[in-house]
Amino acid sequence: MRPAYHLVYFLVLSLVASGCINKADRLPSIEWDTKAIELTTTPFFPQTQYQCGPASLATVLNASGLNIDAATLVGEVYIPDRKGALQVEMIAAVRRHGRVPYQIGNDLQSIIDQLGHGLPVLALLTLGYSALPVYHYAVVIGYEPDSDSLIIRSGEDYRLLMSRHQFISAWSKSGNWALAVPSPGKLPANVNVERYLGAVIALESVGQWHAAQQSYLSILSKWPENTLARFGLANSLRSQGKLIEAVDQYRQALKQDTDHRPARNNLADTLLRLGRCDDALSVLEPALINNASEADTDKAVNMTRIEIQEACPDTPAMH
Amino acid sequence: MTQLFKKSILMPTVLLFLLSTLWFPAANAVVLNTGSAETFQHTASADRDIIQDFLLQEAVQLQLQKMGVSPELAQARVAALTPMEQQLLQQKIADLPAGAGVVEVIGIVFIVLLILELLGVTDIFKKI
Repeated sequence: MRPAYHLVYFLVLSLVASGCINKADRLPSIEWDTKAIELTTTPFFPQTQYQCGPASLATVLNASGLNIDAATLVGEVYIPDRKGALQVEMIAAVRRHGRVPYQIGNDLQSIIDQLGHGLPVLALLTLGYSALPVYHYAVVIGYEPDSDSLIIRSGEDYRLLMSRHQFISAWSKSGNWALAVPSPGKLPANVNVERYLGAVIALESVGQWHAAQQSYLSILSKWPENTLARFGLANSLRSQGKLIEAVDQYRQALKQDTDHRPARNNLADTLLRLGRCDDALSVLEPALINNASEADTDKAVNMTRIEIQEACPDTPAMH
Repeated sequence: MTQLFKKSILMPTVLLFLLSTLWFPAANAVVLNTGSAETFQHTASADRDIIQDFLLQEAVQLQLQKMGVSPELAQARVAALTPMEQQLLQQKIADLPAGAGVVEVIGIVFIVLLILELLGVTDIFKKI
């Protein structure tokens, strides 16, 4: 081989394998006894052209029990001019299909934990140089201790083996971003309750009330004292027209936190809708204090008071 | 599209939207979202400016359309985003990482080879 070829060869190698360049001390490790794991039943959607977003999205959504193909998802996440899909839209698409897009912890152990829990992990990887990054979505489905490699559904590869070092490098360049998409009512491994609830609340804001209800229930089955989840459950029931059930849940939330003004407000409103004027008023009364730091709540509470007054003729006027 | 045409479409739409929210205040007007409870104050708010929300959605939708997404799809996609996500897109739609594919890595390798060739460092292409 001539010297020039050596140079080209070296350059090509270093480009293709630029994920290999690592500082050993920076490498997050996983437990040494990590066993072999592979979620072999995870479906596979080979990507076409630049569409690894829809392909990997279809993989995790199908693994969560949905039946949807990558072509359908192109219209939900692909941006032609960017020749790719953005993370926020990947998250939004998961929500559109009634699933919780749970952002897992930012270390490799978190991925292994999800795999052990039966959940494939959708990760954003950065290939190429950091000056010329190429972002790529792929789904981690396993770990092979013998080769110290992760097993990945990626692009056109049904079973790509990527060394742990290479993976960690490519993953960290994209901020260690990864999603787990559990089936409805199932929690991810080692769930961070606050982060999970944040994702469920976003489900609410796009009208996925039934999915939100199931997710709140899954939190409550493990942490029955979580008032925010209880309040969320009540709201999701109420929004589906299950008013009587919602009343029960609001009351439970108030039992845990009697000063929960949003719960008081929403309970009063629900009671009013059930035609229970007196109950509505007595529930709302303790919340009728103004608190500058909770302007939204103040406004809602005052409006509910007015509604009660308008709907119920015998209500004493406000003072 | 002329400025006049845009205005003639946009203004009635905004007006209609505002009027409709005034006419039918009922359903969720006085109910607080789960997100409004203390710790998640930022995600949703009963006090959020309806006009601003509407304009933000409109802006993001237009950006998506400019980048090649069809109007119907763009509308549904914006509706699936939370207000915070809409804001993020509005500010950074052109800069956020767009996950694409391994195909591009090969493209980059080719470009580097080409540059080397042009600089006279290598002569692989002369053989072809």
